[in-house]
Amino acid sequence: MIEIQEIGRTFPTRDGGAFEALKDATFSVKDKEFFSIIGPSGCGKTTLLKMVAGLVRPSSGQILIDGRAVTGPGDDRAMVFQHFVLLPWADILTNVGFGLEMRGLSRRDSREAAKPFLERVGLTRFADHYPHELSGGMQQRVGLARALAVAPDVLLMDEPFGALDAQTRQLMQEDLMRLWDSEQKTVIFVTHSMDEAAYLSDRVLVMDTHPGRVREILDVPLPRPRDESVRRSATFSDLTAHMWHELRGMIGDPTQPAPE
Amino acid sequence: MRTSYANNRNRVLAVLGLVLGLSIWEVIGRLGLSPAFPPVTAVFGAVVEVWTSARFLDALKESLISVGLALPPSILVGVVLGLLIGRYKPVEWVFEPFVNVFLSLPLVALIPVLFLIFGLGRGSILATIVIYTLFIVVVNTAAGVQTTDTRVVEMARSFGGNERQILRRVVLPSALPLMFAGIRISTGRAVRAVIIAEQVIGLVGLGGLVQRLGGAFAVEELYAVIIFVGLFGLLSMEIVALAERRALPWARTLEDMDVAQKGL
Amino acid sequence: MVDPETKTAARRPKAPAGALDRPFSRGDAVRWIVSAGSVGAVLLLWEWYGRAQETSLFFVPFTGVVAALWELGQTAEFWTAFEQTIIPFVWGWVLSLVVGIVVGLLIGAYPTIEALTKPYVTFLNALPVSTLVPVAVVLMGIGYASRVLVVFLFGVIEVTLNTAAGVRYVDRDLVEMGRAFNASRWRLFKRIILPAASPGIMAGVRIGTGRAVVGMVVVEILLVAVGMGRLILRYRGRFQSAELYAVVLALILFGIILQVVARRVERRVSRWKYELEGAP
Repeated sequence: MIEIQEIGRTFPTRDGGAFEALKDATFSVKDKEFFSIIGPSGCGKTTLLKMVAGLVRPSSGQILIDGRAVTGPGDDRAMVFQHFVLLPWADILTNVGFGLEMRGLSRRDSREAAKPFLERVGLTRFADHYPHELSGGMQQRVGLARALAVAPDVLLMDEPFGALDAQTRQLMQEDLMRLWDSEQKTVIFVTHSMDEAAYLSDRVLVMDTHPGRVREILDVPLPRPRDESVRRSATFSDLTAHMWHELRGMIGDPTQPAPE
Repeated sequence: MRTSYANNRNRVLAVLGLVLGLSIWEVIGRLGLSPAFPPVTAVFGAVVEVWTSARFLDALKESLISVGLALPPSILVGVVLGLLIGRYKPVEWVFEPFVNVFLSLPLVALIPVLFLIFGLGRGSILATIVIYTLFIVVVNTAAGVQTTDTRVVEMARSFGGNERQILRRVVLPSALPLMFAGIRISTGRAVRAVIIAEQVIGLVGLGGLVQRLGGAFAVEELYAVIIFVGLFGLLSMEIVALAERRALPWARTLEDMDVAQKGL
Repeated sequence: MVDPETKTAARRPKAPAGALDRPFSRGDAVRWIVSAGSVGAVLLLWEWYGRAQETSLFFVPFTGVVAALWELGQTAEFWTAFEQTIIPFVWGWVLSLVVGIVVGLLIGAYPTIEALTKPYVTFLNALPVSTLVPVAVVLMGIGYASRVLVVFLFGVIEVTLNTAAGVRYVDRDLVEMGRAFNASRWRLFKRIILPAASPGIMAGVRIGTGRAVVGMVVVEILLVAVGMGRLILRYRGRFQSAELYAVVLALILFGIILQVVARRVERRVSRWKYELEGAP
C-alpha cells in the first residue's frame, strides 16, 4: 500500500526563480493494483514516479510504503525505463542480472540468478548477445526481466513502451498483462497513451499540469483478464473519451506559441 | 552502410589513383625536372636497399626505443589523470588551464626550450614525446568519463548501486571508447614527436637519418625513409584501432572520435 | 522579448544554455579561483625554481622571460626577424586554406575523387610532415619558397580532410528537399551544401591554421637561416637563455592568439549547428 501525501516539488530555474513542478499531489495505490498515471507533457508524472523510486526528493510532503517513509532506492521497488537503459558493453544475461549485482551479488551469482527471468521474457536464446543486436521490443523485455529479477513488491514503469512502434507496443502491452496476471505485483505505470492506460490498469490518475496536481482518479471497470475484445467495448471508449476530454482541456490550442 | 559493390569499387579506384599518381611521378622523374623528383622506380629500388641497411635499422631501433620509453608511461599517467579530472570537478578546475594551453599552442615551439633544459640527448626526445601525447590522452579520457550517459547512472542508482559500484560498472566501461581513441591518436603523435625531435638534433634515429640524407641530397634514400615512416605511422595506429575493436566489440569506433581535435 | 507589432512573445529560438549565457553563479566563481590559483601556483613555482638555479643558463625564472620579451619587443631586430618569419607563413597559410578548401569540396562532393585520392590523403595524414622539409629544401633551396611550401604542406591536409568531411556529412534530407523543389546544381551547392558544410569547413580552417603555425615553427627550427629561428640559434650559441625563452614565448603567443581567433570565427559560423546539435 503506497501513500503519496501532499507531494510538492520545486526546481530552481536559470534566472534564479523557482519552477513548481508538483503541488499537493495526494493519492494512494492499493496492494497488487495496476495503477496508471496519465497527463500532458511536463506535468511531473515522471518526477512523481522517480520520487516513489527514491531517486528524487520531494520538496514537501512524503511518500509512505506500507507505513514506512521513502528515503532512497530500496529493495522493494524496481524501475523500468522508457529508453531501456541497458549497459551497452555487457551481454544480455549480465544486463538482466545487473539489478542483483547492484544489490550486492557477485557478477557470477547474479548472472546465474538472472537465467529464469530471462526465460520468463522468452529471450534465453539471446543470453550472450549485446543490446545493440536486439530490437527495441526485445531490449525492453530485458529491462523488464532486470526489474523482475530483484523481486520487488512494486514495479515502477516510466513510459516503458514509449520508444517502441505502435505494433510492438501493443504486443508488449499484452505480454505485460499476461506477466502481471501471474506475478501479481503492484505496478505504477506512467504513460502518454489513453488507450494504454485504459487497457492495462485498474485505476487511472489523470494529472493536471503547471503545476502538476491530481486532477481526477478514474476506475477502470473492465473485466480481467484483459484481452483484445476489451479495446472495442463501450466502457473502453467511454473511458478514453473522458480522458481525452480532460487532457485536451489542459493541453490547449496548438496554434498558439507554447508557454515559456 | 556501404554495399560491398561500393566497397570494391572504392578499392579499385584507390589502387587506380595510386597507379596513376605513381606513373605521373615516374614520368616527371624520367624527365629529370628536379632533383627532388627522382623516378619512382629508382625510389623503389632504394627502398629495398635502405630498409635492409644497417644504418637504417640502427636508426629505427633508436627511434623505437625512445617511443617505447616515453609513450607507455605517458599513456598511463594520462589515463589516471584523465579519470581524476573527469570524475572530480575540483581536479578539473586545477588542471583545466594547463591542459587547454598545451592543446592550443604549437608544441614544436617548446622543443628548443626542452633541449635547453634536458640537453641534446635522449632526455629531450622523451620529453617531446611526453608533451605531444600526455594531454591528448588526458583530454580524451576525461571526456570519456564526463560523457557517461546519466540515464545509465540513474538506472544503476535506482537498483541501489553505491558510488564504487557505479564507478566500476558504469563510468569506467563507458569511458573506454574515448580513452582508446585518445591512445590511438597519441600513438600517431608519438611517431611525429620522435621524428621532429630527432630532426632537430640531426644525428640519431630516423629523424636524424632524414636530415642527413637530405643534406647529402640522397633523395631516393630519403624518400625510402619517408615512405617507411608514413607507413609505420599508419600501421601503428591501425594496430591500436584493431585492439580497440577487439576489446570493445560493442562500441562504434569512428576515425574522427578524437575529442581534442573537434575543439574541446 | 515582446514584439511591439503584435504584442505577443516573439518566437525567438532559444540559445543553448552555454557557459557564457548563464548568470555568473557562485559555482563559477569558485571554479575561476581554483583555476587561477593553480596557474598562479605554477608561475610562482617557475619563478622560485628559476631563481634557485645557480645559473640562468638552462632554466630562466618567469619574470626573467617576460622582461626579456619586453626588451626584445623594443628592438627593430626582433620585429625584422618576426617579419621574416611571418611573411612565408601567411603565404603558405592562405595557400593551404584555398587549396585545402577547393580540394576538400571536390573530395567531399564526388566519391570518385575521394576514392582516387584516398591513398595519398591517408598517407600524408599519417606522415610526420616535418620529414618533408629536406625534400622541400632539395626542391626549392632554403629561401622563402621552400618555407611557404612547408607551411602549406602542414596546413593543407587538415583543411582538406575537414572540408571533405563537412561536405560529406551534409544532411541528405536537406539535399533531397532541395532536389524536390527542383533546385539547380549550382543553387543546391550555394544555398544548401555550402552553408551546411560551413561548420566542418571552419573546423578545418581552425585546425589547419594551427598546423600551419606548427609548420612555421618547424621551418624556424630546422631551416635556421633567417627569422625567429636565427634568433633562437644565436641566443643558444651565446647562452642568452632568457632571450631564447622569450622568442619561444613570442611564437607560442602568436600561435595561441591565432587559435583563439580561429575558434571564435568557427563558433560564429557554426552557431546554428550548435543550437541544433549542441556545441562540441
